[in-house]
Amino acid sequence: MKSFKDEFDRRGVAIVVVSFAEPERLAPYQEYHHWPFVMLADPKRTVYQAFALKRLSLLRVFSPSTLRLYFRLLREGKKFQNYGKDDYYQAGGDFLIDREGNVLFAHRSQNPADRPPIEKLVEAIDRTASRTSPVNSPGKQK
Amino acid sequence: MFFPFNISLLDFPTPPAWQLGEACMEKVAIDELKLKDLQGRPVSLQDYFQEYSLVIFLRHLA
Repeated sequence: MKSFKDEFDRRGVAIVVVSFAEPERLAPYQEYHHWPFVMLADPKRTVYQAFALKRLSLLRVFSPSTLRLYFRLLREGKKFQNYGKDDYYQAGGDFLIDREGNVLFAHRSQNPADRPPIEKLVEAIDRTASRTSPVNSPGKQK
Repeated sequence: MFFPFNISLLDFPTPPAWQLGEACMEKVAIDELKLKDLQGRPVSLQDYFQEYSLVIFLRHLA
């Protein structure tokens, strides 16, 4: 993701990472990872709710694709960092929005391994930029 | 591990409209979305825009 920051900058897209962790837990996380993005906290999850991000079921959280993801990360030598008590059931998501609040692209994760590829995000941005009116989400493009 | 009681084993969430292939136009009131920066100060999502904003919601910290 870091390597794609320039691509996003060039397209006039600010990247904001939101977590439901408290700011005091988020700060060491940012310090460790050095993400070149703005990180904000939503401990009450009101913004998660505004974007209709629900909590996942047990079977979704521990789905085969999740296990495959974690095995792959372990094989790549990624280490588990303990940032304290956490909620593994909250769904994440990726949203491209304009200044008026129109959601131009929405991806709500159906399991922990379900994130859109960066290329798909860049594509959505380019599609959006080429239109004058806001586009609908990717499901409409079929 | 955080293990609240409202975890379901199975769920059948209503897919967002775009997954159903329906025409939709989602809109959020970004001026009403209140967040906190890493120092715990209240901020608005509106302050973090260029032309667009890609908002990435994390799951847990890992």
